[in-house]
Amino acid sequence: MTKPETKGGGARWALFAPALLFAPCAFVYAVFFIWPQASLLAISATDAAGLTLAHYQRFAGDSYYWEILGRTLGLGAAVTAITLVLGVPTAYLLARVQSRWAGFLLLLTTFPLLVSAVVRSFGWMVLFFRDGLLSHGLMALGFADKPVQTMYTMAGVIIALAQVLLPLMILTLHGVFKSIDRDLEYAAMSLGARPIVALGLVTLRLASGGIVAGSLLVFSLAISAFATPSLVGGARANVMATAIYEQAIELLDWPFAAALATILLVTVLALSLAYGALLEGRGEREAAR
Amino acid sequence: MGTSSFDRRQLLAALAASTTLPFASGLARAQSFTGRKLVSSGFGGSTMDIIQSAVFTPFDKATGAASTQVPMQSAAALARMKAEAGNPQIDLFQFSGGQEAFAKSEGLSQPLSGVSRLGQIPAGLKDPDGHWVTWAVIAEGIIYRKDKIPTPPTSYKDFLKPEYKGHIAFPAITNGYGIDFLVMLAKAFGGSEDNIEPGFEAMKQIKGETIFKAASDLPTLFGQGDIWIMPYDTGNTFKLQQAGLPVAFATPKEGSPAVFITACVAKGAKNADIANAAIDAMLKPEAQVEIARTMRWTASNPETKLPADLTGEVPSVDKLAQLDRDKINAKRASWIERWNREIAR
Amino acid sequence: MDIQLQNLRKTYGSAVAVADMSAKIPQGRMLALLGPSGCGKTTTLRMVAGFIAPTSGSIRVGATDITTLPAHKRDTGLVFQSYALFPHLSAAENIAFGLRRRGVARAEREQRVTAMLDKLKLSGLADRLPRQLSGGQQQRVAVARALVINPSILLLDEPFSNLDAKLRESTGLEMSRLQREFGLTSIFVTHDQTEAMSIADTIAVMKDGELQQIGSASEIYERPANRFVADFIGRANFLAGRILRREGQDAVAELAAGLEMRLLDPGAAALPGAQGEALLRPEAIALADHASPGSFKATVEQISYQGAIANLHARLADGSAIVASVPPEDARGLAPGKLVGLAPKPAALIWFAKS
Repeated sequence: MTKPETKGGGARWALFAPALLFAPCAFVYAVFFIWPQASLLAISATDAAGLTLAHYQRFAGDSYYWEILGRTLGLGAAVTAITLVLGVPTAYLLARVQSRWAGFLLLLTTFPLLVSAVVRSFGWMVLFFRDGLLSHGLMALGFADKPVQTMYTMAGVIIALAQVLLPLMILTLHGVFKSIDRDLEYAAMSLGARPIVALGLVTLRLASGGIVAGSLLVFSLAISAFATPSLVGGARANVMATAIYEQAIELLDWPFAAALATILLVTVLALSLAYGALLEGRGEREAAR
Repeated sequence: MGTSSFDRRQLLAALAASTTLPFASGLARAQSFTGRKLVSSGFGGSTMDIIQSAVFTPFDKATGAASTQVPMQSAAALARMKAEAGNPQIDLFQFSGGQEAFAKSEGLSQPLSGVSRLGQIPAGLKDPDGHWVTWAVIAEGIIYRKDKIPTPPTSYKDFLKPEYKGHIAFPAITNGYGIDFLVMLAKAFGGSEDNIEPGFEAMKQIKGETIFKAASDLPTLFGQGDIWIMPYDTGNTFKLQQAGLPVAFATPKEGSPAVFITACVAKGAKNADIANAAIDAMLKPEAQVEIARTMRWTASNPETKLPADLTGEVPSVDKLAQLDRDKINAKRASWIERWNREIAR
Repeated sequence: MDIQLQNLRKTYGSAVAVADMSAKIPQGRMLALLGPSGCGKTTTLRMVAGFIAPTSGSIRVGATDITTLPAHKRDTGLVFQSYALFPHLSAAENIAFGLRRRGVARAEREQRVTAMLDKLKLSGLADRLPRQLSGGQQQRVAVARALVINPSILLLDEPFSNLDAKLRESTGLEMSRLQREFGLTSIFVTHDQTEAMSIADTIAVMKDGELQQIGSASEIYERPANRFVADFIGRANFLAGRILRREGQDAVAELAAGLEMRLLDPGAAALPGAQGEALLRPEAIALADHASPGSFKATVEQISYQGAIANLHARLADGSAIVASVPPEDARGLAPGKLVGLAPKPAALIWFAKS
C-alpha cells in the first residue's frame, strides 16, 4: 500500500515526524528498561576475575533451580488457562450485553486491581488456612473429609494470581470483543452457522490477536509476580521471582540473582514469540487458503 | 567535597562531648538540629510507630530535628545500604537480623561518635570498634495456645511431640527467628553453631508442618491457621495478646536466644551528627522503659530501671542466651541453600 | 414463498420497539419498511431474520411458522448495512461460507461461487480480502453471499446507504432485477423514500414502532393515511384551515387565512368548523396570475433551478411558507419580491383533521 513518497522537504518531514514523536518513549525505554537490563546482564556474566558463565552453569547444573523455573512456567500456564476460561465468556457477555449496567459491571470486575497485593493476600489468608472459609466450605459440601490447607501452597498462589489477573484479561478481551461487529456473528448465523460455530469461526477467530495479547500479559505478570507468591505461597511455593529476591536481598548474591533474572526474561521472551507466532501463523494460513 | 565540612562537624561534636561530659544531660538540650532532617530505616507497621513516639518524637522535640523512618525489612535495608554505598540517602540504619556485622565488614557503616551513653552498654551488645550498638533486645522462645496446650512447653524438643503434629508452625530460615530456631534445635539435640546437623535432622521431622515467612502472618496462623505452637518472641506474643488471642510465651530451658535491635550510621551519611545524637537518645533509660512497656522488648542499657509491673513480663538482658552471630552469619547462605532443598522442597 | 407477519410486537421493558406489525408479502414481491431511525423497521427485519425474539405475534414463511426457529435454521439471505463481510476471509471464501455450512461438496461449491462472482461482476476479485475492495465491490460480495445459498427469503438492511448517490441508484435497480430473477420474497429496510419507491412493490411506513400505512408507492404518495406519511414521503406543503361547509361528499374550507378551496371527499369528520390542515404537493401547483380566482396570492422569495423543474419558494399572505415545483420555463422572468398566484391542480388538496 505505502509507496515511497516523492522526494521533497515536506515528504522528508513526513518521514521524520513519526521518529520524532517516538523519541521520548524510546528514550524512557532506553534509560529505564534497556539500560538496567543490560547492566543486569553484565552483572550476571562477571565475577572478580572478569567474564564468566559460572552463574549460568550453577543454574544449569542444579535441578533445584530447574524445578523452580518449571514451577514458575507451570504457574504462568495455569493462571493463563484459568483467566482465559473465566475471562473469555465474561468479557464476551459484557461486550455484548445491551444494558446500562454493562459499564458498571465492567468497572466491578476491575475492583481487585484497586486493592494492593498485600491487602489482597491477607484476605486470602483468612480463606485459605486450614481453619478458614475454603476448608470449611469444602468439608460442608462433602468435597473433603478433613481440613484442607490451601495457604502456603502452589494451588493457593494460582487461585490468588488468577483472581487478580482476571480483570486484566477481561479488560483486554472486552476491548477486542467490543471492536468486533456483532453483525458478523449474525451474518454467519443467517448463512447457516449454529451460534457456537459462528462464535468460533468468526468472533473468536477475529479476537485471536487480542486473546494472544491478553494471555501474554497475564502470563508474563503471573511468572514475574512477587508479592502474591511470597505472601500466599510462603516458603514452599518458590518461584523465580521469590528466588531472585532471596538471592539478591537475603543472600546478597547479586550476580546469581542477575543470572536468574536474565534466564526468566529470556524464557518469557522466547515463549512469547513462540506463542504469538503459533496463533498468528494459524491465522495467516487460514487467510491464504 | 563534603569531607572537610563533615570532619569539622565530627570534630566539633567530639570536642563538645569531651568538654561537657559531666553534664551529659545538659548537652542534649544544648544540641540543636533545627531545620535539619534525619532519615532512618524503620521496621514498618506498629513497631515503627512505637519507636517513632518512644524515641524520635522526644528527640525531635529536644533538638529541633525532623526524623522520619522509612519502612523496610532488615535484609532489604542492608541491600539498600549496599546499593547506596558512597551516597547514602538513609543516615541511620536499624537492623534486627545481625545485618550490622555485614554492614561493618563491607565498609558500609562508620564508627559511632559522640554517643555519650555508649559506655553504659555491656561489651557483648556493641561492636568493639564502635560501629554499631544494640539499643534493645528481643527475647525469643515459644509462643503457644494456652487453651490447646495447658502445660507450658519447656524445651525446643517439645516441637517433636506427636500430640502437636499438624498444629506446628515455624518461620523459614531467611527470617532471623527461623535461623535461631534451627540453631536452638541443633543445640537441643547436641549440636551447636559449628555442628548444625542435629538441627536439620530435627527440623526434617517437622518439615510437613506450616512454614511461614513473615511475622505479619502470625495473627492469621493462630486465628484461621489452627496453629498451637511456634518459635517466636516476647514482642509478638504481646501483640497477639493485645489482639485478643489466647497465647502465652514460654522460655525454653535451652535458653532464649536474643535478637539484637541495633543501630548504626551509614558511611558518608550527610546527617551523621544527628544520627549519632539519635542513637544516644535510643540508649536513654526513659526511652528504653517506654519500649519495654509498649513492646515488651528488653532494655540494653543496664542503667534502665523497669517499673515493678514490667519486671516479670520482660526478661532482663543478663538472663538471655546468646548465639554466636558471626558463625551463624558466615554459614547463613549455605544453610539457606540446604534448607531450601531439604526442608522447604 | 410468501411471508406473513401477524401482530408482531417487540417491547423492551416499557419501551415499545415494534407494535402490532402485520403485513403480507406475496411470493416474489418486495416489501420496503420505511421510516425514520428508531421507527422499528430494523427490529422488525431482525425478528424475521431470527436475531431478535418477538414479544408476541407470529412470522410465517409459506405454511411454516418460523417465529421461534433459530436464525441458522431459517432459510434467509441477509445483506447488512455494514455488509458484515468476514474480514479474515477472501471474497470467494465469504461467498462460500454459507455453502460450507450447508455441507455443499467442494466441486459444486466452487462452481456456484464462480457463477455468483460472474453474475455480480466480481470475477478477478475472488482472492481479495474485504478491506482490499471498494465499497461497491464489498456490497456486491455481500449480495452474492446472501444469494448463493438460494434462500427462500431475502432480507436487506439499508444495503445501499453506504454507497455514493450515483452508485446507489444503479445498484438499487440491479438489486431489484436480481430479486425478480431469483423470484425471492424480500423485505427491505430503508429510511430513504426514493429508494423504497423505486424498487419495492409495497411500502410499509413506520413511526415509533407503529405501522402508519402499507400500500403501493403511488397509493402512499397520493393518498397518505395521515399527516406523518404525507410529510415523510415526498415534499409537502401544509396549509392550515377550517371547514366552512359540506357540499355532499365534498367540503369547502378556508385555507391560509383567506382563500376558499374545495376539498374532494375529505371524510365524514370534516364537519363545518373543524380545524385541520390541507396537504398540497409542490408539483400539484401551477403558476397563475396573482389576481386569478382560485389561486393563492404569494410573494416569491427564492427560485432554485433543479434542471427538470424549478422550485419556487414563496410566502402566502398569512405568513406561511410554500414551495411550488414548476416547469423551469414558467419560472423564467420571476424574481424575489414578485407577486404571483399559485393555483392548486384539481383534486390536489388532501384534508387532515387536527388531531
